[in-house]
Amino acid sequence: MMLRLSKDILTQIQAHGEQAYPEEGAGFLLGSDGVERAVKSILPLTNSREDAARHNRYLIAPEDYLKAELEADRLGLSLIGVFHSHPDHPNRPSEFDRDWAQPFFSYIITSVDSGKAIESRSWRLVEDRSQFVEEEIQTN
Amino acid sequence: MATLKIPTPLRSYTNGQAEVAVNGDNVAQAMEHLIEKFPTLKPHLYNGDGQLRPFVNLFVGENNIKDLQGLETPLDENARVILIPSIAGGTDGVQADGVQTSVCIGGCGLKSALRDIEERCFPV
Repeated sequence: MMLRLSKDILTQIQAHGEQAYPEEGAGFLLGSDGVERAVKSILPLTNSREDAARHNRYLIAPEDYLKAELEADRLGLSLIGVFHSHPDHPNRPSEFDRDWAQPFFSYIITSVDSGKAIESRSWRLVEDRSQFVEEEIQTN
Repeated sequence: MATLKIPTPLRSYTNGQAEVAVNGDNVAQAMEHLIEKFPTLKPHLYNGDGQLRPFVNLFVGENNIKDLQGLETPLDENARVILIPSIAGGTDGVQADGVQTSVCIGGCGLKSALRDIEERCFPV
């Protein structure tokens, strides 16, 4: 599995994580899923968790999910995943991530240490929901 | 038959269909019919105890069924049911809590978003 995106989009994703620090930042990946999966645009969103939980939780509200589907339709793209940051934590999915994960989606996680984005990795949930497997990120 | 709108990440289980016609006098029966039609959807909508997973939100028209009669919410022939996943996650930490799934219900634009999507999905 592989996820292709431009260096500019990766920079935008990491900048969003830095701006949200020390809270978690999140948004949608819009793109196409054919012979290869490619991110063409991102939709950064507001973390809808209550204040006290934003340092280790993110929530994209139902209304934002609907708006994202409409925006993807408008652009002739599909929702293909979600990005979020892990402030001062590794960029591996947590058990909480797995419990709440959707199939099909790519999940890009960026580790942000002391306000600086360190690295992004992408993951997909396996069919039986037992774990995530990493997919290679290719930038161009 | 009622119409049930499927979110993007689940459409690979409905042969790519964004909308599925379902039978049922209430939401529970409509969901059962959905699973009968597309059994591989089940683990992504229900947990091992047969309960809907916490990220599953169901709306009849503009209203979350949590604000109606839950899964017993009745459906008429022309009912429009929309399945919306809550997208959530985060780091493992001390807070093993649940997630607020309806923080904006009726307050910050959900109904207008639903109207927008219904106009696209269910043109009059």
